[in-house]
Amino acid sequence: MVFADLLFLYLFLPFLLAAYYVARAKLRNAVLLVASLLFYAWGEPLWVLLLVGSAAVDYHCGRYIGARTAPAARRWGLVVSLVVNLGLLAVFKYAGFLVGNLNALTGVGLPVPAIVMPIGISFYTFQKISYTVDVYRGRAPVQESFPDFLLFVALFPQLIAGPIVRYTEVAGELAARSTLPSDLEQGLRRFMVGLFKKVAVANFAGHLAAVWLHRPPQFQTVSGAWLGAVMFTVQIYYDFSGYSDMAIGLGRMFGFHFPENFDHPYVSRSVTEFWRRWHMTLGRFFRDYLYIPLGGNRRRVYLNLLVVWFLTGLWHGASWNFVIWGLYYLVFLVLEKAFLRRLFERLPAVFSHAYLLLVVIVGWVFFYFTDLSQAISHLRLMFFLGDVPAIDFPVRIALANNLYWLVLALAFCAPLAAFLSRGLRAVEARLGGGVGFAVRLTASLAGLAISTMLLVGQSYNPFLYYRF
Amino acid sequence: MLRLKALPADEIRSLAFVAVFTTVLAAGGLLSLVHDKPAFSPLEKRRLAPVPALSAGAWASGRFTRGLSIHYADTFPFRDDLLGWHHRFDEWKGFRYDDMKVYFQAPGGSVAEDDDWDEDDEETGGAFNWGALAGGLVRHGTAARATSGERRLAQTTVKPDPRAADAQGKGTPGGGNPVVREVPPEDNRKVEKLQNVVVYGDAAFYIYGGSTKSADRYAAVLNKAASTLGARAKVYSLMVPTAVEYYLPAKYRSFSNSQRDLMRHVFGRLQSVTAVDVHQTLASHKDEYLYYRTDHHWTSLGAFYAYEEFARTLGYKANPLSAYQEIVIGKFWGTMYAATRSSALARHSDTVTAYKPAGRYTVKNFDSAGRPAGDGAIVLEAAKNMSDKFVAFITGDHPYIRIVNDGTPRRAKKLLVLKESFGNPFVPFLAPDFQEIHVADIRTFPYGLLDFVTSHGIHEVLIINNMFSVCDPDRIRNLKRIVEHE
Repeated sequence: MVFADLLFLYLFLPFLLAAYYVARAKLRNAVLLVASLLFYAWGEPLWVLLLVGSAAVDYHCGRYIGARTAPAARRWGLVVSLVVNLGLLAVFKYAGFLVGNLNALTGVGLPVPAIVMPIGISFYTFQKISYTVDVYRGRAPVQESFPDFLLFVALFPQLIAGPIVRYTEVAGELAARSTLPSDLEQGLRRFMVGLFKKVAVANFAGHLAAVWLHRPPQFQTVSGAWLGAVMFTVQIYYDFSGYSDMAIGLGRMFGFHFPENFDHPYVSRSVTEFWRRWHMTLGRFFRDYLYIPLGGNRRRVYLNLLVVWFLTGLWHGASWNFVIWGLYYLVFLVLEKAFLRRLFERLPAVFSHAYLLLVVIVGWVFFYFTDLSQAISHLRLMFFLGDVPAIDFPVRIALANNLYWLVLALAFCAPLAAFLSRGLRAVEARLGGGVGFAVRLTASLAGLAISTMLLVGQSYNPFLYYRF
Repeated sequence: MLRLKALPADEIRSLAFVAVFTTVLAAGGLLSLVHDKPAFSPLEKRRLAPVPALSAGAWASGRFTRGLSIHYADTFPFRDDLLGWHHRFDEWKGFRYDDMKVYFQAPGGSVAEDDDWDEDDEETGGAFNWGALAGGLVRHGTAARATSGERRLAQTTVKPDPRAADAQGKGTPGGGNPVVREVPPEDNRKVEKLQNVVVYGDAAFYIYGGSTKSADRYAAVLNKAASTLGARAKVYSLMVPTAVEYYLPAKYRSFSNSQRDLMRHVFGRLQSVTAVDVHQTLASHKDEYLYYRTDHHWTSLGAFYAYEEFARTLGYKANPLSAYQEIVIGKFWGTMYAATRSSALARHSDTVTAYKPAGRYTVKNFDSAGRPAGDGAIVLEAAKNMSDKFVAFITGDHPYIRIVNDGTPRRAKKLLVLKESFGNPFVPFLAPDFQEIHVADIRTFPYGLLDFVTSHGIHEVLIINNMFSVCDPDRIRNLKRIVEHE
């Protein structure tokens, strides 16, 4: 199941909220656990067993480590957990990639497996790793109850697409949490924001991206190529941050405070800053569980950075273009550290901002095309190196047909919503809380209505060429 | 439980918010469970996704749960109204440029843009695959649908369209079987063939991207037909241009490939096949109602002018339009409206007019196994009361229809017409001119060309296809099958 789905919105969610709040406090974890497993099984009827099974392994590893003081024994517990989790990724996510590369390198003709990756595996394996590592380091208490541990792993808000929640961040709330009506309200509102971002922005952007990134060569133009790249830039932000908003909102509804994952990354003025605003939980995970253990910036800093960024890229997908995307950012990080930051500090902000956007948009082109040659030919088109006109009517028409939406989508990449919120609070201070209530309720209901109508359209493909 | 009096004011407001919001969600959910679920969408002309069958295999593969989600969305309360709003929202995203709005389609086997002969018409390799994104972020979900063009729609199974049946239960000529338009199996949405649509003014048309690669294969099949038949029958080729050819403003002519050029290209490649070039005659009448504004078909008036050209090519004088009885079947909004729900198209409906030939005819329909499927009609007036007005033309897309002229035909010839849906409004005009007309829908016709021509004593074979079919691998395959059938 996914959040941006009518069945989730109108059946799963209200029913779960009712069941949760009707149940006694002691049963609420059980309600959430059942709901989470059902949620996951809906999309992965078979691999839900993998989720439960691998959680069982880490549960036992945690208890094993916790029950021992000898460092060697404790290390065994950790090693088993890492091997299992990384092994799962290797098999279910990277098998095809690994075998393909092995074949290419050695000329061996092994059959390349085409395993369909279970949903969320990249997220829940990392979450489990965070648990065993933190237990090993003595930073987290051992979770003695398997149902509670399984709940940590399978909690449906962040199971499918993050944020990556570490055990230490929710251990307390797993055991005891309370919710006030304002938690529910803020959770619902945050969820609605995420849903709206996904269906009203990301999906449209995705459609435009697909059209303009795949324009047949004889119809493509420079602006068309840019339109495709920019639309993908918009799509991936609104899609991913929208999912995080929904996850955080859902968690809040049940008393969990998940970490933020996105902080308006497109207003950044440097790549360094960008990665402190984009997919923050992943960045922090790699920093705390890979970069720092490797030595951080104290020794072999460049090698450590290389490893981290290689894997950051690779985590995003089992294909070399993602690795290149990761290393591409490493190059800019190093350049910035060396001299670029200082250079841009002396120039007006608009220059560094433009630089960052350029770097990011080009980066997304590498991210989008798994075939590197396609990425390069698209970039050539964008930078006037292809033999195409600057603009043509289809692009003009597409821009006109989508202009209002486009302007708003771009504008809200900046913290406009926060600005509006502050404005509303100022108004509330003058006119009383009722005004704020009315505005927020109306906005949320409008968002729900719009999201519903947009979701209804998704089972509907009108452009089929029927009865010809 | 919460004690209301102990709560500060803003918590009470939060409680009110939560109460309203969850009530709305719960009400929607309850309604969605208890309301009468429709099985068919008259606007989209398709069966809405039914509850999927539950089996171990369906469960394990995820098909069951996916099917449930789709069924739920397909039968959501007020779906049609919500869809209307969906399209309104789509229009509000911007404004028209030069009175044009274009609905671009993401790739996924667009026939217009590439003549793709691969059987598995999947996404062009190298494209960003959402499934590859960490965690399968949206693998099963909606973004995949958004990018790969709503691929999932296709679950509807083929069943005769019950709504096409005579609503009043009155007997069709000959009584008995309800008139049913058998939906050809290929219409069962294997997804591909997404088309770019332009809405210009208050009309809409598909952009044409056909190129010579597929057109050459079409010409080859026609030539094969002629060489197979040899002296037994003369083969004629009539290609029908679509509205985009005549109504796209000159400035934007380059959007769409020239159908005239492609037609001439095909004609240039034909051997022993006589070309019927209707492009010019339609152009000379383009100020008349030749094409529907809200549907991709041509009108019967457009078909009439093509008929005149056909008769001219065969060397006889066509009947004048006045020789036919003009019957207004009714108003409708067609496929282009269903596709875009554009407010510009909603403003004016189209009108289906049929022209009924004088004379006496015996019309029999046959199914895709060649079995009799009841009596037909050249023009079905009862279509006035049906949702699918096109059923008026030879009662729809039957695999095989036999029209026998019981009076005195103008020419003592037997004609075989190989067609898809564009042939339907064309055939009625031919009825007085031939002794027998055998109408074959290339998508479902069960017989082979040589065998049929020989056993039925056919003198003339007309292959009439619209320009999109000319470049459509599926239609070319259909024709090939008939031509090469033993």
